Amino acid sequence: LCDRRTHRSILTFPGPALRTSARYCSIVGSSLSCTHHRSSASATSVANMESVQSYMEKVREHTEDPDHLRANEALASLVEGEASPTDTAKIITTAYASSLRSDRSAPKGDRWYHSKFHEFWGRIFSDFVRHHSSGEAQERLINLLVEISRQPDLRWEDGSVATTDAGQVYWRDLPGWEFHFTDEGLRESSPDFLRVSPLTAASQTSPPLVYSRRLFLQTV
Amino acid sequence: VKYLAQLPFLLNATRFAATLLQRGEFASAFPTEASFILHMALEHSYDEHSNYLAQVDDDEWEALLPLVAAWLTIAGEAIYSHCVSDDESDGWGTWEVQRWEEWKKQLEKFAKRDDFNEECRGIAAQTLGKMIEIEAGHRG
Repeated sequence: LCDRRTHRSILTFPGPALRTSARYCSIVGSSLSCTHHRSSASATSVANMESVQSYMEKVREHTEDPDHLRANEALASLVEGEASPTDTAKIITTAYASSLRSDRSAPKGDRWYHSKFHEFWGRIFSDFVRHHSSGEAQERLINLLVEISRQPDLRWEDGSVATTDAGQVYWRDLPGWEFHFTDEGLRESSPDFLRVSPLTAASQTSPPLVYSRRLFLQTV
Repeated sequence: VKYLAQLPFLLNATRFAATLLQRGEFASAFPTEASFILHMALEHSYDEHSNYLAQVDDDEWEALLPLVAAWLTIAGEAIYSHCVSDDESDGWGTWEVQRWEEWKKQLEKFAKRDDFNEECRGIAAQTLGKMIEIEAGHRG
């Protein structure tokens, strides 16, 4: 793990006069209408710490699950600009459809929380968001959300529309997205003093998702 | 200080969430998240010893202020328009113009605090500038 000093070296800018402004621009990224610091900001893509390939190798070391691997590879192609959000959405929804159908027979309660598609949001999608700071990559990931929500409704084996116990429809309501992104994308990477949000308190009865944290710590 | 190493990742996730919040897409959980960070960073009284945030050190400000900047700059327009509207039926709950004003006051103080490093002061000043810009845009 890098210490404070190392971290500072990532965020340090060449000229002291530019430092604060460029830092600010790197925080707010492309959403800020700031042209004069754009080059400094893009030069400090703070969290693009490793290539997608080596990231993928780490993922492979940590999971043997073929559905997750397929989703990982699809996301890697998407953020690299090699695949469209539409195609990626098709691959991902296809990858998780059969596991969702079999999860339907699990006891009611938290069966969807533990389903692989819901894990995808917390473990895979969130990790891609956290590791990509460029506006382009983030835009592709946003477009992927839109495209997943536009996929034709998933059907159970009896032909009825697939929903969670709370009635969220696969795929158009993106079941699990907000909960898992909030919990694992935002909360899990927060410093301890920021971990006491109402949402976390509500989810404390759920088992911890160790995978994401382990992967995260290894990549820092 | 371990969490500063995680800050770039948290910041990326926050920027992503703030972008969705600004667009109003797949973002129903994010008003709560933004509200939480803004509350932790900007709504405490720092003079009271009873508040543990009175003891925050530089490192914690270095983590908090970039998150505040990301929420208020990227999603600032959405946040402001909810603060000035009286509609509480849209899931945004306690967003009020008094809160917005309080954030501005705190950021103004932070921009002048000697015990903050230059980077933190700069982020506070620029976030404040953006908020004033948003207000002007809303009026005009």
